[in-house]
Amino acid sequence: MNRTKWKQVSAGQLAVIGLIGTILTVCGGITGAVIGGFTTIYKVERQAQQFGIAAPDSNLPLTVDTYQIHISSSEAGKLDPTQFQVLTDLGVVTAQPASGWQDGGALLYQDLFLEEAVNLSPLILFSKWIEFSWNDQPVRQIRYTDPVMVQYLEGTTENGIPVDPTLLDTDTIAFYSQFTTLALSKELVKPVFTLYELALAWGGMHLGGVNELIANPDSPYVFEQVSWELKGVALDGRKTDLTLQRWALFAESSDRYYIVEVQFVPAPDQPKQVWDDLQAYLKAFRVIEDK
Amino acid sequence: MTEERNSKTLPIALIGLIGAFLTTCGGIGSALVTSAVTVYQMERQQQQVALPASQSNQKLKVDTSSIFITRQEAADLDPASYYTNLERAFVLHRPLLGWEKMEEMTVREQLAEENIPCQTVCDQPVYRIRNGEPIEVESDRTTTINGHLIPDEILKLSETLYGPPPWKTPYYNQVIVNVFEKSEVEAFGMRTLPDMILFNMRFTAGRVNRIVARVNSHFAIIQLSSTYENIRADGQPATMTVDNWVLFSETDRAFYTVDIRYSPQSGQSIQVWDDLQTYIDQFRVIQ
Repeated sequence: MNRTKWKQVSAGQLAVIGLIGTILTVCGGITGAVIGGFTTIYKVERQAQQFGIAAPDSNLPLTVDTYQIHISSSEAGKLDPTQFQVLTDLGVVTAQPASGWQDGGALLYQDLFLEEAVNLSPLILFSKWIEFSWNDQPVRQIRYTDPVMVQYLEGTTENGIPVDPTLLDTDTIAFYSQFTTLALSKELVKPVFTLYELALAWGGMHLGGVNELIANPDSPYVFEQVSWELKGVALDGRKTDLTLQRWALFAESSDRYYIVEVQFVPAPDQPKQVWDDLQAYLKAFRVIEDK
Repeated sequence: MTEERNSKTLPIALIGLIGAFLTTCGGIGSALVTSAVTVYQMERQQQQVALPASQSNQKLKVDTSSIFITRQEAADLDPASYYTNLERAFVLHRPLLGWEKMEEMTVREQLAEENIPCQTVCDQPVYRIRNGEPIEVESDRTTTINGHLIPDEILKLSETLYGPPPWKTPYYNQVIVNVFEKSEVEAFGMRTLPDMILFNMRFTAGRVNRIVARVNSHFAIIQLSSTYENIRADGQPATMTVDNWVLFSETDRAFYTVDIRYSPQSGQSIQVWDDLQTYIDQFRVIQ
């Protein structure tokens, strides 16, 4: 009797001990996996190199994930065409224009000079160095259709420089929030500019208003944020100041450089959606590259 | 007999349990250690920037985690080895063996050495350490930089400053520290560190290989290379490469640039390169 009891007790104890051992091993495995998982997440987050740059005095950061800028042509082909457009002439993917926006269609660099009574893209200032050599380079521009009409007055300054309204063709100019992509043949550009020098030159056009210049060590992209200040202008007949915000992303493929210029024109009654749409365009932007 | 066996089984099971417990602790412990090491590695990699010149294996390394030090830390440095300028808030390693003594001058005086009239920020200080004798380089209208002819505007400028070609320019291996007081340079459009970088990098024309400028980091590093062809170096026809690394940094009061210029020459001691690495390694901004 005693012997049977002893057997039962010791067998039960042994089973419990075995169970505890198993539980400990399982817990150890799970904890190890959790720690490993968090480490991997941390690594991925660090490598993702996602950063957002807000304009000064603004809560609106424009975010770009420089780790995911490239996409293969087969991946591009699988994208939902109701949301994305694959621009084969530029070798990029962008978002379809949202409601209230207009796609300017296939443009050339020279077309950027031809608009009248419109605030021209600073991309045209590259002509100081390259004259007419970029004229046939492809451009795509998505523009919010409702511009902010800015009237230049006597005493108006643009980034601190006085503007004489009498020298303008018209004293009222349309400023558009817009998303502009310029694709440049490397062969054409390289004698004068490297990728980084395109960024330095574009930033240099805004000297005194450059708020951020970001270039991560493991990512061959540059991201810049600048402000463009108009003082003493009139909006809807009221004298005021207006600060445009611009961001530019500089990227490359094996044969092209890309300048993606985002311009946001804040206006008192403008829907917040304008800003969200610009963010969506930049988020959707991809360079098509088959390795 | 069975009782005896059972009485032995229980301690064995307990030993097994302790073993399982130790295995578990060991597993978790090693996972934690591996994780901590990975995090440390990632953080260090993020802080250490190694920028090679375009056609060279030589990478200049900058540990960006240690650029900034306190006044107390600066005061504790050995004055025999370090030049500490508390007024201008920076520390530079004193000239190493074989290098000239450090020169202090203004931007105006520095430009005057090359006959260039100073137009902006002329009174800002410059600190320069050079190595040995310069290479005398003669260039003319056929000279190319990185495979391209010198732009017309630069040729015209050279003629204005130095007369007709050939133009003689001395090239030194050197380190130059510029300090720009923010209150002095704001009027010229240098309001932020990016403004400062752009102002300094206006005339680079196809020479910039890399920029590293992280978010909210208060520093940036730029690497440039220039290969000159159709020149004469020390009187002989030659091709010569000049590599530059420029570190930009800032405090609340001032902007700093540290310009490392290196021209690899046949027969030149590798020590020159190591010394330049030391100067950039030991440069500190006092916050």
